[in-house]
Amino acid sequence: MDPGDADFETVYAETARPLRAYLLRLGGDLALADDVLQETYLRYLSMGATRRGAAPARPLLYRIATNLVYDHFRRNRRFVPSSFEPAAPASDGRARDLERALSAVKPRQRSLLWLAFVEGWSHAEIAELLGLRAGSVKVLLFRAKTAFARVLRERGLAPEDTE
Amino acid sequence: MTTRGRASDPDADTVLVAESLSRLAEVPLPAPRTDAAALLRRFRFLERTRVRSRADERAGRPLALGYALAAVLLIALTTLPRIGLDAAPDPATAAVLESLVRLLAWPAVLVGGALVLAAGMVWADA
Repeated sequence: MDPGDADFETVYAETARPLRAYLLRLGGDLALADDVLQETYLRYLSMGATRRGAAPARPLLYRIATNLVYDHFRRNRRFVPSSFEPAAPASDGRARDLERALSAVKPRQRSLLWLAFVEGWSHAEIAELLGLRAGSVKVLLFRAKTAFARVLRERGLAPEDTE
Repeated sequence: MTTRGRASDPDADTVLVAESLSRLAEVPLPAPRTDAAALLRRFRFLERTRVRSRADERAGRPLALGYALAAVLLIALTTLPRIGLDAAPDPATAAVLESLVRLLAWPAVLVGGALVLAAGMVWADA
């Protein structure tokens, strides 16, 4: 076994699960998430051990993956699925409604929301990943949050709607 | 009471978005199609294919040039007796050279043509 293999297996074990969840919410499609996940790690491996070791793996992998999904959207001109299928087969009714609501906001807004609220990334980290200025992230995140909250309310998914 | 049409409250939005995303993050996902070992195997396979293809590319162009050079040499060799025929010192030598020219003409055309074709194919593949 190559000494780099153990390093890669560690990186994979630490990052694959959250990265796959991020890709699923960004792309809205489990098959797409799995394809992009595989391609992301292949590209990461092809960078060579020296280049891989020069930067933390997590932001690097998320950057590769995000660019691959955006490329996919550009090629297919499909920012919002026209006929939405549940992204995760195990989703219950409410989760499915939330998936549909998230898919109604723009892909970059989905990235921003997931990274900030679920992954807990700082504005600076998100800015580096998405190629933005940290100040812009704050504004864009505010807009994304407002847009998603509006969709949730319009669809009756805010907790106060069910009271 | 519905919140539809209500003015947006930044704090309420933050709570609503955080709760919704947290609920989505809790949804269990099916097992992925691949794992680290399978990815490493696939990466090695792709690397080997890439290295082999680069080696073929490196070897292909010199080979094509070799074929082309062989075709040129063949044409030159078949042309030499014809040149010699014009400068033959006596009729006996001229007769030998003439029969040699006749003998080589068609095979040279066929082999030369095949070499040029092979050179073109190898060059296109490289």
